[in-house]
Amino acid sequence: MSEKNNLKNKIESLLFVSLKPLSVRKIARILEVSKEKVLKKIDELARDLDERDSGIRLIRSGEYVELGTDPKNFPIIKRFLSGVIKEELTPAALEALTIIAYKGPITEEEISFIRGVNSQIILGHLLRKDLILKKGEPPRYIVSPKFLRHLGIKSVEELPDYKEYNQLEINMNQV
Amino acid sequence: MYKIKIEKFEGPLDLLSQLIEKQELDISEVSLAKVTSEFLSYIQNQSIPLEELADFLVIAAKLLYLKSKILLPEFIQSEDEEGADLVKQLQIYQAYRQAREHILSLNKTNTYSLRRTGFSEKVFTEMDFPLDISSSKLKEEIERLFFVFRANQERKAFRLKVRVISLEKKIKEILNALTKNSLLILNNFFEKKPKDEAIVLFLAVLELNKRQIVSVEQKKLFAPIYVRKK
Repeated sequence: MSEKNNLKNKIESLLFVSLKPLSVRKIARILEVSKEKVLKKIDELARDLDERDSGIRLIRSGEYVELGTDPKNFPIIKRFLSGVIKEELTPAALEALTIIAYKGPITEEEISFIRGVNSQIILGHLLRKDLILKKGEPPRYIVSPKFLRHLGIKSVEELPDYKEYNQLEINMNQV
Repeated sequence: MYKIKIEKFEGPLDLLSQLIEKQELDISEVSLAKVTSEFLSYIQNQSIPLEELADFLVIAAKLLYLKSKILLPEFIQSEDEEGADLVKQLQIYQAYRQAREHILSLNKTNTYSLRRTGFSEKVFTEMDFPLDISSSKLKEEIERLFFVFRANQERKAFRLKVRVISLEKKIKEILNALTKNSLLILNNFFEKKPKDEAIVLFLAVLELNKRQIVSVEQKKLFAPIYVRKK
């Protein structure tokens, strides 16, 4: 097996054992290779899984990667689970999640500007529920792989009309 | 028959877009100016939580500015972008309002991707966005509230054992102690007693002092309190 394939193989194993989304940076550190290499191999791995119609798919949000099941199989997986419960989310949560999904990475200030209301509390809730992730300085928010799995998609780019909403310019020049 | 009107706005922009929609207007500086007074009367008549009020006032100020600009164009420089900005802001808000429907319908398909289940974590938690308030939903909620309420009540009933400490008994206790010893150090007396009992003991000493049966002496702040029979 060539060295190249070996890297993809290792990444797949790492993703398999992890119970949390892994960041590209962390994978690169563990494997002692550059982030660029990891990103390239992740792309390949995602394609491999799709092409062979695998029951496992790669979920990606920003820097974060996770393995998830094919959503088509949910009815079967449900039989394996001991239960499905509902977690109620408010309209404000939905509003914030929509904006972060389509416009992330996005700052709290920008989210509040779009919604016209202070969003600090709702972002705290969503962080605690692992539906969004916060990264960098100043902090920017993205939706989590968990959220994407709930929608049955692999990345935000799969959202309907993603480009249209993502490219909406937010002009915050007024204070 | 009761009629319940549920007026719930997610924020000032939500209110503003609903006001404009109601009049079947497009978003423009003119249409914003038209709904300004309605917006203001809403703020005045509804009790908006204090923490949200500031957000409403910001938009109200922008609306007033916009309206004055339209009424008195000669007084306000045209390079001012304030009005156009509010129009733009509202358009962006409405765009994401539409995008929201995509998220909702994806969530409604009920096909989820799961990650590996850890240990005994074999429960899947769905996201539920209950945007509609139906009667069955309300019934569910009220039942849940009653359940929580009852559970809390049972707990309280169990905990609330009212302990009555009689002042009279405590006065007797102190007098008894003073017949054995002419001097009583109150601090020592307090030791090992629960707080509520100590309080009543203290009241008892004050009462005896008032009746001039005992004298109380404390050399300085937090020093031991000496109680003597007169």
